[in-house]
Amino acid sequence: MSYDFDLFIIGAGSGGIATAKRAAEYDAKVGIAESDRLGGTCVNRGCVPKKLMVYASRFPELFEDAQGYGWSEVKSTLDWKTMITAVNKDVDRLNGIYQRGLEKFNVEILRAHASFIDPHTIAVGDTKVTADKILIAVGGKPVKPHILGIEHAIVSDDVFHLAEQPKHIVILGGGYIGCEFACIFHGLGTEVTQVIRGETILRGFDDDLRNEIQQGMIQQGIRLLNNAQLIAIEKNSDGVCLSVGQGDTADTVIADAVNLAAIGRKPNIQNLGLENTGVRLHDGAIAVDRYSRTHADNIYAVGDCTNKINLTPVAINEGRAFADTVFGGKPRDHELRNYSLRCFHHPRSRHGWTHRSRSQRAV
Amino acid sequence: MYYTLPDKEEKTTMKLVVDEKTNKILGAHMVGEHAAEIIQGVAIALKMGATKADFDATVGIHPTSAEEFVTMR
Repeated sequence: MSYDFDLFIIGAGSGGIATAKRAAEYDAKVGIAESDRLGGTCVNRGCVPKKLMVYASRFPELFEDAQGYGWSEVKSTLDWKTMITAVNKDVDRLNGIYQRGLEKFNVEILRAHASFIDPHTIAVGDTKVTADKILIAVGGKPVKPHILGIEHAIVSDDVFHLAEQPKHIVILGGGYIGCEFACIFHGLGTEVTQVIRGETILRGFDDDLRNEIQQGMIQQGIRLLNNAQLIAIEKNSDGVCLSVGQGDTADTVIADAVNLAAIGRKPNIQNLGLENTGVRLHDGAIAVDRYSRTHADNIYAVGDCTNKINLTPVAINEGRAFADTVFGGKPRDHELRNYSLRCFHHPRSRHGWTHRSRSQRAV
Repeated sequence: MYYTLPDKEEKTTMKLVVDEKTNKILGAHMVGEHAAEIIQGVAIALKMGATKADFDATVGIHPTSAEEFVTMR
């Protein structure tokens, strides 16, 4: 039986795009569906705009440090709109690069939502396509916790589209997304309160480093409410009021307009028609083996939708390993025993930091 | 070094986790300026199975923070 495509990819994020190009290099006929912008989370709502904002947030400190080296005092203020416009303009530029990259490899781009009709047939918008092999690379999305008034909170994705700079932002969550945004906003001059459930930020990293970074962030002026639970969010004329419980006491934090829920992310696998495929889930994510194979013979999955290690370079490596194996005749799995993680903080010293997984257990 | 002239209390931390039996480096950690840029090169060494002796035998680039990774006792 002949199919429209040798490989059809659902999702043009980091994993999907890298796989499309690699498979096309092996002369596979490749199609890719994307209902949003090309580039996925990393380019549009994650790593890239985030890092640009990290850079933006560092200047006040550089101005200050310069005086130690003999430069006169720098008086400078941030124009939020100019900064956020420049950041988004660069995201547009990258979208264009991705589009041209895919076109160069003759990958057909279908700009619509895709869902399975059967293991070889996919509805893409109003059309149907068939493919021999199918790769699911739909990524993840932020989780909103069930809290009264959570609709008043924005998620990390929304930060890059705020029309105005918040005067006081409350960051919910002590993971690396929460910590990075806490430091970015602080650096940009926004008052920051970070609310975390545990004692210490950055669960999963080594304790000595967690404590050091936490101390640095507090010392720099970020207000940290730890062992805290968010009870409710209410919007009134003062702004957004958060009721926060700490042990037996409850506190109210008033922010000017914005909160950020940096609680976590989950696979974006709803409305994908997975029930028509034989693909199985594990803990709400697509179950795959080390060759990215799902339980359906011709269907594979990479990246955040498999919820293994949600990092751009991991998704890219998984996708390329799949293409090398299936289309390139060069079988390889992707080995995840060693990988690097970095968190772009800058508590005063703009701490970037990196951690090699598993190592703390080996101490 | 950068912070001495601005007279700032800034701490940089670097840590290697070494297997006592094999002398292999199991983990490398850094909190500080340019950590992400520095650790990428260290990651290659770890991927290749570098030992503490390999790190010690490497000539540092002076004066940098990164050289601390090859001068640890």
